[in-house]
Order: sequence, then C-alpha cells, then structure tokens
Amino acid sequence: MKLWLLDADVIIKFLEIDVFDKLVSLHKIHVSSSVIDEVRFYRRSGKIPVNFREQYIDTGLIIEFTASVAEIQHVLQCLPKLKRESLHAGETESIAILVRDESLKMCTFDAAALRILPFLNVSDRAVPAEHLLNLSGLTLSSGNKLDAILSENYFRSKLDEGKKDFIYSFSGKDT
Amino acid sequence: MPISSLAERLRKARESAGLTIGEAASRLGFKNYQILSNIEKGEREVKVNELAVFARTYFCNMSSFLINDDEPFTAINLLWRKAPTEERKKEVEAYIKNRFEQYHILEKLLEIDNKSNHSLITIKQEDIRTNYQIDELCSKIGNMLNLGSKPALSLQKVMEQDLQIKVLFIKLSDFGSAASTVHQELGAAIVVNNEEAPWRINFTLAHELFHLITWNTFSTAEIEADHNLFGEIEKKADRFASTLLLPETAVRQELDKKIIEKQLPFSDIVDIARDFGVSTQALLYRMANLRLIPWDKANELTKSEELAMIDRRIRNDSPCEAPVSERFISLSAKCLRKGLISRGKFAEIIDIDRADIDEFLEYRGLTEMEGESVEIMVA
Repeated sequence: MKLWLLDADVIIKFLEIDVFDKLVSLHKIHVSSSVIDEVRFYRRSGKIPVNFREQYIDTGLIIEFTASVAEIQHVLQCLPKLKRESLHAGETESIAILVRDESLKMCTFDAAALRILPFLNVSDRAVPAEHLLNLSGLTLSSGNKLDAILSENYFRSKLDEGKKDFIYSFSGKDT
Repeated sequence: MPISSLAERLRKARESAGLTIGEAASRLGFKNYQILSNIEKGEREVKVNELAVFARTYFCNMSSFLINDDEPFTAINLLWRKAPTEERKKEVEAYIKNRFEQYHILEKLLEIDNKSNHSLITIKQEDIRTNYQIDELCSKIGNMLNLGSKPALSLQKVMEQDLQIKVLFIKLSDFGSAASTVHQELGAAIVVNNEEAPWRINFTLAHELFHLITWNTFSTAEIEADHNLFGEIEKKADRFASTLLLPETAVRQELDKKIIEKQLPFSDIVDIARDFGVSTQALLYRMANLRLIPWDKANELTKSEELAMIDRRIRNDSPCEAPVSERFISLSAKCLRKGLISRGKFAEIIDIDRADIDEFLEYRGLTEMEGESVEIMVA
C-alpha cells in the first residue's frame, strides 16, 4: 500500500506501540517535510529520542513529499474560515499532498484532520489505524486492548462528524 | 496568489511584529538578510516549511499570508503597568495579540459568546475620586461577584468563567507585572507576568480588574499622555485591589483571633496574608490603611529582614509551577476532544511537544475521548 502518514502523532503512536518499523517494512510509506521535523521523540518506558530524517528519510526507508504554496492555498480555500484555524501548518501540508496524489492511502487518528477530509473529497482514501494494523498482521495478543483513538469506531465517528460539518457548511454555519 | 502579493503580506507581518529585516532573517534561520530581502521583493519563492516558520516568528496564522479574508484583527491597545521600550513594544504586543486571538478562536470554535462582562457598572471619574468611594466600589463589586470573605481564592476563576475576561500568563520579564486591554472583537483581556510569585498574582489580577472596570472612565490615550494621571489611576487600582482582596470585616476578624495583648507575631502576619492569598506586604499596607498600624511601621516592616525570612520559610511549600490560565487550557482541551482543533494545533497553542500531548492531558486530568453519550429525556 502506498501509505500516507498524515501527521507526527500517528508516527509517534506507532513508534510507541512498537509497530512502526514493521509497517515500514510492509508498506511504501510517505510523509510530508513538515511532519519529519515534528517527530523528535516518543515515549515507551521513558523518553526515546528519534532522528527521523537520519533514520528513515536519508536511508530511503520512507519517502518525503513537499507541497507547494499554491497547493496549501487551495486546501485553505476549500475550508470554512474556522476550519482553517483548526489545523497546524504541518497537517495542512500533509492534506495538500494527499489531495495532489490520488494514489496515496492515508492514516491518521486526528479528529480535526478527519473532520476536514469531506471538505476536500478525500474521505474514501483514509484508513483507520486499527484496520491498517489488522491488514498488516499486527494484531494484539489477547487481553490487550487497542488505544480507543486508534479504533475503527473512533475513526468512523469523526469522519461522520466531518460529513455533517460539510453539509452544514452550505447553510453558512462556520465550523 | 501572485508571488508579489505573498511577499507584500510577509513584509507587512514582519513590520507588525516590530522586527527589522536583519532580526527577522536571523530568527527565521536565514544565513543572511539578503534571502529575506529577496523574498519580500518577490524575487525568491517561499517554501511551505518556511511559511510555517514565518507564521511562528511573526506571531500570526499561516492562512493570513494566503487567504484574502484572513486579515488579522485590528491592533490591541494595551495599558501597561510598565510599558516596554518602543523597540520591543511592537514585538511583545504582537505576541500577546496572537495569544489572545488564539483564545478568541477557541471560544468561537466552541460557540461561546465572547462578550466579556468586564464593565460591570458604569463608573464616572467623580465616582472614584476618594479612597472612601473606591472602598464602596470594592464592596459593591465583591458582592456582585460573590467573592466571599477570602476573594483571592476565587478571583481568577470568577474573572475567567463569569466575566469571561481572557487571562493569560506570559513571560514579561522586564515589562512589569501585567497589562490589560479591551478590544472590540477580542473582548477584555489581561496578561500577567508568569514569573510573578503566586501570592502576588491575585493582587495583580484585582489591580487589572480595576482598569477593566474603569476602561471607559479614562481614555488610554489620556492616561498614556499624562504621567501624573497614570500615577493617580495606578494608586486607585492598588487601593481597589487591596480593599477587594482584604475585606475589612474579614481581615479584622482574622487579626482579632491572633492578636494577644495587642501583639501579633510575624509568623501570624505571614499566615494571615497567605490565607487571604496576598503578599505579606499587601497585608501590612492594608493594616495601615485600616489604622491598625501606623504607615511608618508598615513601611519599616516591609523592609524587615526577619519578617522576610519568616515569609520565605512559611511560603516555601507554595507551588513553584508557573501559573497558567485554566480556562485557556480547558478550552483548548475541549476543542481537541471535540475534533475542533488538531493535535498539532493543540501542541502549538499550549506550547508543548507533540509527543507530550498524552502526558500533558493526563497530568491535567483531561482527556481526548468524548465517551459514550447519554440519552436525555426532553420534558
């Protein structure tokens, strides 16, 4: 799968639950330039520093994409005013690249980012983290429970909220 | 958007932040100012990751560079206790304005009416001419806000929650302890130096509350132009803060309990000040003001080494964590939980690393999960 990891949080989370390297070996992973600089460390039993660029980009394990200013502007123009304020610059760049490259399948558990997708007509290219892990054969041993924000239910509920936001946006409600 | 238009916006944003081209270039991480100069002339394209750094350095949103209707709010007019030097003022005020804008956006996202109720009553200049009138005003405000006998314990919450005054704690360093403003769109706001001792913060908040209550009584232009008037108003604000936080009846009652044969030990003075949430100095001046000790004695005691040492020892267990705006954090967490801001935006607003978000939420007793919904019967 040509996998697009939308933000630093999903990478940090996968590093924390120790599935990131396995995903790297199974999929063609792509990330945006802004996201690379945002992954500085993750927590397992303590704080573990990571030089993401050196470890994954320079070694060619992960591919880096950069958006243009015009692409970012296009994304922002598609969003109501308040929605524009809901994203961080790195996430905006990531979404701009997702819009550009239709072959990418995207993974995130960020509620605000998921709620943006219907505005850009890219909801069908988003994959819940739980689904991605199952698809990659990364299932939890019995007795362990997946973090609720990685679940398919959470993903679907946020995407549904985004669809409602999109519909309501035509009524002039700016959220 | 044509490159020249973006270049122009970047130049304006830099100027609004009070930065010279050289300073800005160095903060942006450019090797020399010529690169920035070329960007501002529209001769060099801007990369996306640079745009994010521009937004951070110039204290604005990236969208304000790219979208026509995302023009920044009008300038804020801060009333400083001790204004920064002209060359630093623009930069500090641009930073503060950006923080208040973020606060305002959180309110808008949560559909909270941000119209602050800072102007509790209409006050004319002749209403606050004498100390007696200020004391009367305090008693009225204390009752209106239900502040009780120890107002400091609830003042910040009441100001933030009930009056919807935006209170932010920012490192002001040399620029005094606080500043306040009333802005047409952003509402009433106070910025407090986060390096202040916790027991001084309540006094600062009460002092700034006076400025907000009397915002329309004196014009800021008038105050800034007239040094004597400024000094007079500052004295009134101090009187207001002292009387509000140390209500006469409550203070007398507490003192009566501790005074034995007209004697009050230093340690009890510190204890009482601590109970009322004010500095020992503030209590001493209030005692003088209530004619319990002479002013000379109050002045002498504020310089007493022994009292200062006891004060330090007793207050040693006071929290040393930098103060925070609970409401600002709570609104940010609510927006995150409801998917109204992303985790990246949350980290940016709270000023923490992305990897620290979960730990931060746990530490503050907050959560990102909404949980299940309960069906409510409609009557």
